[in-house]
Amino acid sequence: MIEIKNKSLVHDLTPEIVSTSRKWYFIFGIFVIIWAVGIYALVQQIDKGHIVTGMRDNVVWGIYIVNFIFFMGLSYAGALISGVLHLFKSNWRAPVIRFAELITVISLCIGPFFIFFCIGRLDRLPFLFAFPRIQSPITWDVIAIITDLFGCFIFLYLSLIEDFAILRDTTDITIKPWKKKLYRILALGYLGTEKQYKILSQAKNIMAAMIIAIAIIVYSVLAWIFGVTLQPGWHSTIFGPYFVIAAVFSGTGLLIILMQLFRKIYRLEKYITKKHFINVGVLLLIIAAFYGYFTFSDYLTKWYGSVKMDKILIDKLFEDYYLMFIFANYLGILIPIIIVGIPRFRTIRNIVIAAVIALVGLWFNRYIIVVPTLESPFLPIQDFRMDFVKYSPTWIEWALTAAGVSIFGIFMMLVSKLAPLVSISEMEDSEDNRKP
Amino acid sequence: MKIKKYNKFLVSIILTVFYLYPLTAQEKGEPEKMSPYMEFKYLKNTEEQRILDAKIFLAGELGIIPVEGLPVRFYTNMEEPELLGEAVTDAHGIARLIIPDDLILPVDEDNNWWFYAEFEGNEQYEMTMEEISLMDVNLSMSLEETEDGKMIYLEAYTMKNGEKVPVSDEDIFIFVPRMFSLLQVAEGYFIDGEAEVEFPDNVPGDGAGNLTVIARFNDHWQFANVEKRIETTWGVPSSHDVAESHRALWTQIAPRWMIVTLSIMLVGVWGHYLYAIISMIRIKRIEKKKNK
Amino acid sequence: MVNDKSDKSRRKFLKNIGTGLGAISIGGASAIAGNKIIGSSGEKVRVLTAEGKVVEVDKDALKELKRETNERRETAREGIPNRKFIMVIDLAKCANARKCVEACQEGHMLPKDHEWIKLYSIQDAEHTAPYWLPRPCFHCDNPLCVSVCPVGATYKRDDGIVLVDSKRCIGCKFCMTGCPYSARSFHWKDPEAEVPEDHVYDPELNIPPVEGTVGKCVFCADKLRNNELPRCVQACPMGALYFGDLVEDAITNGAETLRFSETMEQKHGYRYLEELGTHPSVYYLPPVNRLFDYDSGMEGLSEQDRKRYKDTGPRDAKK
Repeated sequence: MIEIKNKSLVHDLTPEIVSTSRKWYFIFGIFVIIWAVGIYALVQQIDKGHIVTGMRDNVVWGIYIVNFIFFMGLSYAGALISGVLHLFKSNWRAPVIRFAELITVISLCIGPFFIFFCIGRLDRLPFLFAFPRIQSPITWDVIAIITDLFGCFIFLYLSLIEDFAILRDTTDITIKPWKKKLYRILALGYLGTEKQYKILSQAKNIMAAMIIAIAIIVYSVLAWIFGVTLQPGWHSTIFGPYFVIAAVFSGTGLLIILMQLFRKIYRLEKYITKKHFINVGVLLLIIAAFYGYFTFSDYLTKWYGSVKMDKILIDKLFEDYYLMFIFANYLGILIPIIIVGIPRFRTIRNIVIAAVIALVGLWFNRYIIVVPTLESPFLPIQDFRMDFVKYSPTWIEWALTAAGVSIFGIFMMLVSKLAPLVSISEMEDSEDNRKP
Repeated sequence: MKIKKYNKFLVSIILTVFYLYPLTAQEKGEPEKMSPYMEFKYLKNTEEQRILDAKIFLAGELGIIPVEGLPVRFYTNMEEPELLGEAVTDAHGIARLIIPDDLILPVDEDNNWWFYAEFEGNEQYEMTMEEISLMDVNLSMSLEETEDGKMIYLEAYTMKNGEKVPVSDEDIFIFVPRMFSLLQVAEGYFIDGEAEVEFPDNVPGDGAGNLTVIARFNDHWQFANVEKRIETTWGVPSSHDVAESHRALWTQIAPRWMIVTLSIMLVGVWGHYLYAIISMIRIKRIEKKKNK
Repeated sequence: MVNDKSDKSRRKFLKNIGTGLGAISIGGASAIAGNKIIGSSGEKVRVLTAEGKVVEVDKDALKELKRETNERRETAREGIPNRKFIMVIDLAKCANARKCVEACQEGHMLPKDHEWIKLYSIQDAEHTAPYWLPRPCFHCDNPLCVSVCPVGATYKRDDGIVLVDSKRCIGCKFCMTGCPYSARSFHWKDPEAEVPEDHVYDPELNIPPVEGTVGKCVFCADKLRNNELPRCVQACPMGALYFGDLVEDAITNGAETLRFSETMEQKHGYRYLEELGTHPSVYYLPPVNRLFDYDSGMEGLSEQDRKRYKDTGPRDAKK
């Protein structure tokens, strides 16, 4: 039997597990509708062919790949934050760490779907496993993503074991019998004994270290899909670390947004305080500084040198993609730094605004990495069809992007029905200061 | 040999000699009659066979379109045309007639043979015909490898009134057969019925250096096409073999170091996963033991 | 449960999702049903035809067609022994007649806007003269497109030719981003091409085009097996395209046959963007002593073709 000292923890952190509020159904319904529109768009695409998207012979990778990198980036941030926070045993990590783990696993499930949308022959997807070529960065990516998914899932599950055990044993709240039974199975018979606790923490520590390493490798492999080609703008030596930093940046932004969101919805003000926002905000500031440094470094060397293709690309960025470029690489970096850096601006509301700007700026950053390069190939695009010269996404691509976001919401909400979104055991441990 | 001026003009405009696939039946069956062109050639090959080739084609948008299945009649003797034979154009549009070796052809006052090929025309195609006239020449070739190099000795003579007339003041070319065509590698000049040509040292042959050497009067104004071929080993042995063991980024099998690195990394990572799963099993076991 | 509706969209939906029948049965069944049946085993199989009808087809006939196709796909990977194919393009003779483009499109059943050999108007610098550049696939000796293909659908043979196997391509388009010369095209929609009934798919000819796969110039490998020149080479009215074998050291445009090594030496042949290290198999002869001037390439062009050359794109020499 697991005994909890702070009974109110169980009560406060499990609102959706006990019963489903009307608000939950309403929001869930909206997400499902958006998702359904996305499914309709997908059927259209499969039926009529990829011609219904905006992708054409030069810009063969559009916002599907942008979304893929974006979601994979979110997942990496979750992995890093939960892994690092776990290993450093910082006290303030408790309410935040579960969100981070969930972001990791859920975005990791959504990301690969965007590649599927981009693949011309979905019926031949098994060929990736039947005839793999190890020399191809896509094969590296497939292996890496599967490894990452497995690893992050194991890590999430390990951290949920204690919570499942608590929920299995608790008498403070009424849980439906079928859920109780589920918890009994999922808790793996965890009874809180010394030995079990030791095995569990050792496993968690090892996995935390592993997922940090895995996530770095996975995201670098993703960056190298672009880095190993010869295209101007992609053939950059800095791409591996650059993508990793950008990923952590976006994930930290999302983490702050989710913290605020759930804090408001479930009235968790007691547990997620301003201190947490400031701590994660400081993380955001540090990462923003690194990200700004990498971006500047990348573009400076491109701009200063006289290589023709680099010049053409940078001209294109400053002419056709001016607004996006400014938003992503100036506002997206400076605003979070200013808001978190200056104590007067450090309110929860402002930090959340900074996070939103950072997140959107990073989506734009991915866009201006992928699309302008493809629009300026070595041999000029001499074509009379305007849609082959300039890429513009169609409603189908936007619908599927929205569907991806709504699936994220759907999964989050479904998880909230089974597991507490703030880790009960972590909160308990942090109050206890029990030595792991 | 006198070739009709417009025939040469045609050939020089349409620079390709090889053929696209014939049009489908639908395209051929147009109500309007089409007028094809004919290219009429004579070749005396290395076995001294005299071959008449009549090629019928249409000048299409995308080049030459040969016409298959048309009957062509071949005649000789300008004074009193005698039928030599009939042939039907094949898939390449060529109707070929081999003149029997023992048939003696009539010559005119210039000592020339005269040939005439005609396609009568049918519902789809208009009539077309060509004539050529040429002088018979006897060509012989022998090869010798001397200290000075690989030498080709050629002799050519025509027959006039039963007497040998040596060929003088004429060009002869040395070719080697390549995959799509003949490549000219040397050139000779006949003086008094004899020509001596040095064969270059750097012509690639097959893997063993085998090479067919061809001496040919090529589209000659008087002699049309006459050739002699000899199989030699005068080619530079050349082959193109990519070693089976060659491994690169683009070969089917990956470079060894790549496979090794990948395996080590995968085993390392999944080994840790195994450890985590085993931990979970151990936790479950402890519960079972406790409950006993 | 298969539907009898001859709804085109439904057929494509099922085809793509993969009901387990595969493209072979859908394409071949309507053709084989009722025609020559090889080794009838009596065992029938219900398949969906192209018109959306359900027919019963002898299982062995389907198997035979599939076996032949797979055999052909295997031999296509081996190539023609002891050859290394190269193409030489004489830029002094190119006048943008576009016959090469049309012949290629006709031979490979391509839609009119797919150009496996493409004509560019290039001006290298402000004070250099513009010229026309025909660009087929370069069949590089260090092909980045082959290196990045995750399923091995595109491969390089020993005779130098790089092919695409339309039956294996998953349409990820990584090869298209890998090629620095933009030589590949993607079939974004159903090309709606009809093939003869007992057609065996051969990557060397690569017809019919398949929706959702990548296509590119194949050096007409099917013609090479019959010692015939590629379609574009035969069609060029200026004789600007020469094709040959590096081992034999000979190139021909149909009318003229030259020694490759001599031509390179005398006319200073070069390869495009050599510094990228892809080692193309296509060589160019610089446009000196031009037979046709640049402007003659603009004559007689359709309106849309004229439009495409107005902006010479990113390599605008003025900048």
